Amino acid sequence: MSACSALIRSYLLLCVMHSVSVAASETSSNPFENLTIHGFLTQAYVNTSENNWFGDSVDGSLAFTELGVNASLQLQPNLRIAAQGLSRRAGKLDNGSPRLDYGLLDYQFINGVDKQLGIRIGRIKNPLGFYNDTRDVASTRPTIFLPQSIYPDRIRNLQLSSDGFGLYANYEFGKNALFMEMNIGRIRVDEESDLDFLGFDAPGVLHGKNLNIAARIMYEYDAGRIRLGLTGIDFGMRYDAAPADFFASGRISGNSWIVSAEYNSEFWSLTSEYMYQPVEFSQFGLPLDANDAKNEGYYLQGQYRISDSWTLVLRYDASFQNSNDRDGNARAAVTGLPEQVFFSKDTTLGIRWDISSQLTVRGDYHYVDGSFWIAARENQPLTNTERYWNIFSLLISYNF
Amino acid sequence: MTHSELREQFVSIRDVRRGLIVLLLSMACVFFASHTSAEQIIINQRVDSAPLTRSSARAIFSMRLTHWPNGTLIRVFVLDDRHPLHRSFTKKVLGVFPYQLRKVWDRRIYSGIGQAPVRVASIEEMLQRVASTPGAIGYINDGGVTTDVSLLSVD
Repeated sequence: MSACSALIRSYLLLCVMHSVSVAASETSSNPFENLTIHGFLTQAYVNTSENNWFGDSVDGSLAFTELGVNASLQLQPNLRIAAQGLSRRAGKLDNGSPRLDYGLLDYQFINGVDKQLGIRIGRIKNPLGFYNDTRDVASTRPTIFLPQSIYPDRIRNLQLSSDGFGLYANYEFGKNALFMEMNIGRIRVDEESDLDFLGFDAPGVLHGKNLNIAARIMYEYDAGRIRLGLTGIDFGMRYDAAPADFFASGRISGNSWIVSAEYNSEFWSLTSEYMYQPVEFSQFGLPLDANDAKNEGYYLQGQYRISDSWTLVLRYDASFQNSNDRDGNARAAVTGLPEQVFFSKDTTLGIRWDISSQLTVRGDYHYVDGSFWIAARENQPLTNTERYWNIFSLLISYNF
Repeated sequence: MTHSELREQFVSIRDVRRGLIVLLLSMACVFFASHTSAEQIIINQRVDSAPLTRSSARAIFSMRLTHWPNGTLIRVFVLDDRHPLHRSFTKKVLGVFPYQLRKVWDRRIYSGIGQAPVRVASIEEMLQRVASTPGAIGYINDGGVTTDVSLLSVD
């Protein structure tokens, strides 16, 4: 752990101790009266015709489990502390070791009927598109797997959260509302990310840059009947080469722009998001420095609520490594990899059965053309990936 | 036209008139019934609040507004997402669909940005928790027992 996050942690601890003691001295009542605890438990089964997705899915995989517990304590009317522990098994990408998903202090300068203004310090979920901040909670996802164009699971940690601070402001006027959030902090890059970012298991170490910015502005009309959002992210990673390395120490930097739009009526919702993400590689030397990409992705999704218990969803989701090489021809010629490694076009049909408001069972079927978003860690060598494949998956989830 | 035919016609007109009266009465009953079973916001008796606007009621039940004007923390109580009263309350009083509120609450709970209301199992528990919790707000059917809680209207 770096000095920076150690500092943030000790600062958090100090703040908590201070706040608890203040709260305890000011009110004679139980300070834990305003404590709320929630959680979720999810297990999925994944079967693919070709290519591995969340484990050895060609043979049928149960290597997708999500378990989370969180607590939130209102210390004073304008000060709250919250944390969530998460254990996640996801094929070769996540082994289930428990970790802090978020842990923050939330202080509000203004809490009014039509405006709120506050700051959060600690580990904060990144406000990114419609789904990122609750992406590990199955009941909040429209399908078992999020649309990979905007929320790629193979690099989820990069998007997930920041260690630092975030400012937020909400403002309502008539039937209109604006929700603005901005996080500044260190992104989390796990030890094995190099395979996904560099294309192979490099001997050096990849670090997240200390000052990454993620900001989102969301406009809502009529309490969410119409939702329009714009997300901007500026991120960077540094590669420290090992003593005997193929590459020099280099940098990866990029930014993402996501446009989000949704219409909600009583029985159906129509959702669409578009992402453009230019990424640059520098100082590594060739061939890595030639890996610059202009990632692009979008999806269009319709949800139909047949009843309280049953929901149908249909989605078309497309991702391209390069917006100026959507069929992958140019990249295939340079890298020697097959064309389908550079795009994915996924048509998904899903059904959701809410047995109660806490227990959900669902089933999804995907027909996929392309293998862009499958994880290199689970599919070696990439030259052997199949272009046309399908995913069938089942999930059961409990929330409290 | 014979006398009996005239009588029959008169009877049928009377039947139509009777039918119309019954129809009007039943419509009035339905209107009256729906009026008496309307949703009513209740608050703890120690909460001092002016009538709410729809947007302030939304701000409270979506958990953005966290304290009353005097600084007391707002404690929100709701029924299960599928409870008929919860559905009619969110749609008619707040003007949102229950699934939208659920999305807002889940985002608050699972991303750490806020808290969600406390869910109670029944209207009886709702009354009891609102009566006994400082700063509490909830809802019941209009005409329910309200001796231990105060009513709050929405303009």
